[in-house]
Amino acid sequence: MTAAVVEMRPERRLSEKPTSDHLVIDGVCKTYRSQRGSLEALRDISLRVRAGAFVSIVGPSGCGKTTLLRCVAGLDHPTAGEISLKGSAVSGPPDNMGMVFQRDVLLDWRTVLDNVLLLTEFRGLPRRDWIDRARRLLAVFGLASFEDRYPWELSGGMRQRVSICRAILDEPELLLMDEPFAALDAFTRDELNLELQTLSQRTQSTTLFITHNIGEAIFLADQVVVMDRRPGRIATVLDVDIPKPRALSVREGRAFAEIGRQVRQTFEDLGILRASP
Amino acid sequence: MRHGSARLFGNVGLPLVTAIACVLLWEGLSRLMGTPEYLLPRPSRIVTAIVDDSGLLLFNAVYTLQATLLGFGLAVLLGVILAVLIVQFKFLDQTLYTLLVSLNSIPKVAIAPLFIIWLGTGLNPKIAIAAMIAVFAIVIDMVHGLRSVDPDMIDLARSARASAAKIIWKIRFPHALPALFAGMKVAISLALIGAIVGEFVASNRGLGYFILVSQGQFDTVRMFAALTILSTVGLALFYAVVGAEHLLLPWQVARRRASANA
Repeated sequence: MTAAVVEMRPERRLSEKPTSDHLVIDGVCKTYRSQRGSLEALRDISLRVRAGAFVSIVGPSGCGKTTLLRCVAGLDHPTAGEISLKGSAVSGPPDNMGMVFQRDVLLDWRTVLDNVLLLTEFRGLPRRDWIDRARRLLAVFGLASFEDRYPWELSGGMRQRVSICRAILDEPELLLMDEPFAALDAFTRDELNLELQTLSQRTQSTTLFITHNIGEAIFLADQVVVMDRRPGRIATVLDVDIPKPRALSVREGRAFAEIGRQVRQTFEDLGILRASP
Repeated sequence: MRHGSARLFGNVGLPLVTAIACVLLWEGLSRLMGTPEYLLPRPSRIVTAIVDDSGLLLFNAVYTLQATLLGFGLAVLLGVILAVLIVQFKFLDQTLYTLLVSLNSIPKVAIAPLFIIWLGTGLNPKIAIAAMIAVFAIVIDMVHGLRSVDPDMIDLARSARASAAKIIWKIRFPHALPALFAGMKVAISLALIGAIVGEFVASNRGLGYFILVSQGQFDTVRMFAALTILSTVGLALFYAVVGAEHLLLPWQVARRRASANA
């Protein structure tokens, strides 16, 4: 473990000059200890994300993707290594961060509009300052006529749209999404991929997007981080040099297919995917 | 609408028709077999007795109702406060909650005479006994409700730096309300039992006292009259809680209906 930290040093020197790196993950390890022994969830994760970049993290179940996201969010603490945002170390949930989970976690007793405004109440911000923006966002997602409805009156896709509105209401600099579309059907997923792309181009949030869907990871991202199974490690990082905004049809293009091939190849080399029956 | 009236009949009409049929059967059989009145009076005799003693029954029912409602209110207040503390403080969870759950298995009726020694023979011991019997249902259901919040929801709140008080007040507490109402539906009946137990132990008023006195006089008809009123009070209290749930938790009721139709 010590050796890994020492090896990280040269890279740390690189980060000293103030580049536009928004998020720097530096040699992060996470081991959970329980009575039944210890579980190494993350091993020596290093990653730098420039401001405004959209980074997809793709990997099999149990590769520590969620643990990594929770560490970045300041909800969990790395056993070793450091995470910093705009040069200052993360020790708790930072200001100006939005989160979206696989389950939409909307509050049943609040209307759609009140759900979107929930986090401003936690932050102690006056509701009247945000209500117009909340309405505009709902309109962008085609939910304008649903603001007085309750979550249980909406479909799964609509619910997840509401939870995205809630996360991006105050235009967070950092947006963390943990398999947000995993529970949706393929059509709704495509629609939401497009909507998210449009939105993230407009807000310029630095985004970490966790998924186990390779196509979705590539479609949305500037960079795809491929993770190996437990203990979670970064196997490779691939750049996606397809100009944005992208139409769904880029998925049939050569560039897209090539990146997809590389991701699958990585998983095959790791023994996570099998090449043939 | 047709669907709605069919459901209304299923929920209200069917049990009512069954009850009326049972009473008619009872009336008919006891007339046919000539059952002596001191063993099992006929329903028609019970109704006459209720009408004859209506003033006396009302006076005693009000007293019992008073003890029940005050005991129930106390149980809800105490139960909710205890549940919030138990969920907030791990120490109380390990000590108080474990203790409460084991205390729940003690036959609480057996402790009732103690309350007479502590609080005298007035209304107070009845309120205390009603609250003691009812409080466990509230605490146990409320703790479960407060705990069953999706951990992602708590993470979301923490990610927005919500204070512990706001997490309790804006997330855990409203989330636990359906569980609280489930507990209250059980607790209201338990509070009525508690009030009657208190009157059985030592009292000079109330439906429990009325039943004891009638028994002493071998007046079975009056006992049944009091029992009928007691059952009616119990039913009314239960449906009052159900009604309050409909009023206060429209989302819960509508969601239940939506999932029942799905």
